[in-house]
Amino acid sequence: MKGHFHPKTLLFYGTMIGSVLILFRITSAYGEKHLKAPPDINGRYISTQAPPGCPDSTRLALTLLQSGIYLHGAVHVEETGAEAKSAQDKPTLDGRWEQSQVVLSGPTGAFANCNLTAASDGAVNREVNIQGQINSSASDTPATLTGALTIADSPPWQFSAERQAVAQKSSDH
Amino acid sequence: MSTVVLVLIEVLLVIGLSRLVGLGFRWLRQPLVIGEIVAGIMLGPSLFGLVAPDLANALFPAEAVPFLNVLSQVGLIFFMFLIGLELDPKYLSGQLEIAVLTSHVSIVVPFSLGAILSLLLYPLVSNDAVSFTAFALFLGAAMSITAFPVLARIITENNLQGTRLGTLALTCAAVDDVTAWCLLAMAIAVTRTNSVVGALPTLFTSAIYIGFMLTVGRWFLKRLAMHYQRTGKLTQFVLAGIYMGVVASALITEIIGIHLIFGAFLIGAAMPKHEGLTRELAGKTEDFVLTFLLPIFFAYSGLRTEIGLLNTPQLWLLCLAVLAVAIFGKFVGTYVAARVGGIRHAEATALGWLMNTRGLTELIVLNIGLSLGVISPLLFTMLVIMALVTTFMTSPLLEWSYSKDRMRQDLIEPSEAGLEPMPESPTYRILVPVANPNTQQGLMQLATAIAGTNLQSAVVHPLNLVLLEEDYAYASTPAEADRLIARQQEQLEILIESLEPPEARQVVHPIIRISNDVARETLQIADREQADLILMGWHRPAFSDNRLGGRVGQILSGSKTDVAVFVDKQPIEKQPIEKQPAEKQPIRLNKLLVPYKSGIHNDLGLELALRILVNHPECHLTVLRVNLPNQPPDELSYEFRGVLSQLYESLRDRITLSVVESAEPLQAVVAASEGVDLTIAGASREWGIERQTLGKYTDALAVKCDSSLLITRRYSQVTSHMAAVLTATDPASGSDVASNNTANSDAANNNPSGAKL
Repeated sequence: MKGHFHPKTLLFYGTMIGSVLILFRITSAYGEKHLKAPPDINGRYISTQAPPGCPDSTRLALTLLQSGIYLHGAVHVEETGAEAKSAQDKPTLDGRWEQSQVVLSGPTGAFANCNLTAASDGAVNREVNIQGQINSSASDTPATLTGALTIADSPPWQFSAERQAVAQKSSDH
Repeated sequence: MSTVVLVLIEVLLVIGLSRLVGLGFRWLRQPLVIGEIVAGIMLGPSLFGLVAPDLANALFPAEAVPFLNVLSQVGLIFFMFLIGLELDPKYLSGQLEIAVLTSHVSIVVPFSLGAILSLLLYPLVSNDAVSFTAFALFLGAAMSITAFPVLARIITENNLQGTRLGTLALTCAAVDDVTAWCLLAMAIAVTRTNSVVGALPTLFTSAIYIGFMLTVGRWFLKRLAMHYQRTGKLTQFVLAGIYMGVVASALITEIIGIHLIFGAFLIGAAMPKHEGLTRELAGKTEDFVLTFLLPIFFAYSGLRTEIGLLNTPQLWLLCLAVLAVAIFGKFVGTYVAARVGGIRHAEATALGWLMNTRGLTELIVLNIGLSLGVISPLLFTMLVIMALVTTFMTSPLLEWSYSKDRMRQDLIEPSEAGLEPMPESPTYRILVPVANPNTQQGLMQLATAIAGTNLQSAVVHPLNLVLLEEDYAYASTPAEADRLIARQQEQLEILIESLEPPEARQVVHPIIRISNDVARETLQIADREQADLILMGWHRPAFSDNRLGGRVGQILSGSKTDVAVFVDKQPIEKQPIEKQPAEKQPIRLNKLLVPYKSGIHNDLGLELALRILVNHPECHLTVLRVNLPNQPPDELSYEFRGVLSQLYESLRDRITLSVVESAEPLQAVVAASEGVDLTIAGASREWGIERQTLGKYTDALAVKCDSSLLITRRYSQVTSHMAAVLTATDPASGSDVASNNTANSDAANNNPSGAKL
């Protein structure tokens, strides 16, 4: 490798590595300062009240899967205190994180067992629309999602949901 | 169902599907590992989960995933160990300075582009739990990966490892690989501590550990290799110690703060190379790791790949952007650096495509990123797609941009050192597939007899294909492949030296290549070399008794060149064991028998017989015609008589035409073959050799014939094996006797379908 010690080669390598480093520093400085990624809103959100038309002991469970501003989610109607089961149901809701708002919509069969005010046409899957804001003020209180859930054509149901203490995903590889 | 049972069922599915899909991709001339990766993705939510979600949920529930994870991590550790074992320092130093330069540029450019791309991607697909620096570093590292293992196999399978392009690509890839791992280590350290400054202690400790392994560790392993040399065996005790070392090293790097895989890779890299110890170690480890554990890793990765996440055109556009940046960065970076260094356009293009291969290494990096949370599932899926596409496009683009013949011309060392250079433009070529040079002396003798030295400028190519069936085995690395090729070369040279007469040796020019499909490669080479004849020995295939089945059958079915199959029945004299190699008498070719009935295959047999007749002045030929009873006697055709009359006299004198009447042509031939040295029969029904509906040949004559048998089958409409014979002059008389029937000779020579006798 003695060819590598020509001054010209060294100069070239030095310039190349130097410029990459500088480029990276500039990019990362710019990125850190100006670029904001959406906050981490992954998790399961349990509503504080029962959804309309559903038995009082149930709660709405909203699972949010986030990839930046692209959201996917799934809703379930569960008994209070029920263990997080079927955590890997296919997310049926799609949406985005826009202007600090969560917007999700899609079909779901979660309300099959509920009496809904809208004319029950026997359909299992209904279109739902969720819009809300996430409030994660203090670091030890769980984040809350406050918003409105609309099922098909029924009037929107205002709800507030708390993020479940996420069983810390053990840093698995 | 208990979890253990569930996991085992999953393992069963994973391994089975991996092999199946891998074979499919092999058939598409793609690396097997791509098939395995795709199989893993198919088992996840991208396909299985989409098509049958309930079944997928039942078979791959959330509870079982951590167990798959553990298995896959163990597999990954030992796989990285194997990769380290294969990394030969000779690749790193490289014969060409240009290689090191090119490889550095081929990292810098994609890395920078990746960092710039992260400016776009960060606000879109990341969240603020990850710092921008970590994200950019990771994306840059992911863009600059080149998969050395996959690349090395592509090079070996295309027989490029001796060419300038091949060595260049290998060096570049090796340097790339090592540099990218370092970048990755840095990225991981920064991610875990979430700042560059915080990562410094980690990096410092890692540097110390690397230094330690490469000095003290290496010294210790060298002593181990010496111990192995003395004992000649790799005991389980030593093996246990080495495996413990691998796991311990992995744990150490994990504790340091970079990932498990680095420790395993490091200890593999520190093992002394080219030692029997390394070879045996690789052999013992790779089968289980590659067939059992690695597919589990792919399945685990596949379970996390959700192509369904890309459900808007915008997302697919983003994916395309990632793909474009990746391809552009690697290809353009490599191409420009190579051109600046003086490499030709075609080579630089090929090098660019080769370096673009990201394959398996990329997948490892991405999985680490996903586990650490640096990249989200969406970005993970996009990058997996990028890895697959870039690897998939390498082989076809390589062939398209740089035809293989040109690459062979750039051989660094001539592969025919020590043999006579090929004649300028041989007019007659015989290709002789030789599986095991030790046993094919008879075949080679026959080949030289047919080619002849004086008749025309002829050449015989013994073809030895080194079969690489296992993907990713230690044996398929370029260094090992070279060793195998050199060994075959030696054996072939011994065989050639044993040929009689000595002049015959000049026409022999071996071809030795790596291949994973012997029949297909043989036919391709026959095509490329424009062989006039493929002459091969018979093999008894494993699952049947048909001598014309198996590989021979495959070649017979697919060939466009005339084929002759030699069934050698000459008794082998009992050799004293001291004689090395077994010296056989050159096969006797004094009496030939050609059973004749009008037909293209029999014509070929007759043509070859005439060639042998010309080349062997003591040889006699009997042409036997069998007349069925109650049928008009078979007349010799006009053309045949014309050909006969063109041959010079002493040649004609050695030909006897005899007629036999019999209801069983096959029996008649068998009876006549007694006392003859070689029977040459066309592959036609009369002699019991015909092609049945499924393409198999019956081989009745081969079984019953008393003498050695040559079965001929014509495929080519235009090849004439006779042209030189017709214009041959009698060596004894020296006068041209062929002018007797000039009209006839014109007609025969211009006959496009060969001598129609």
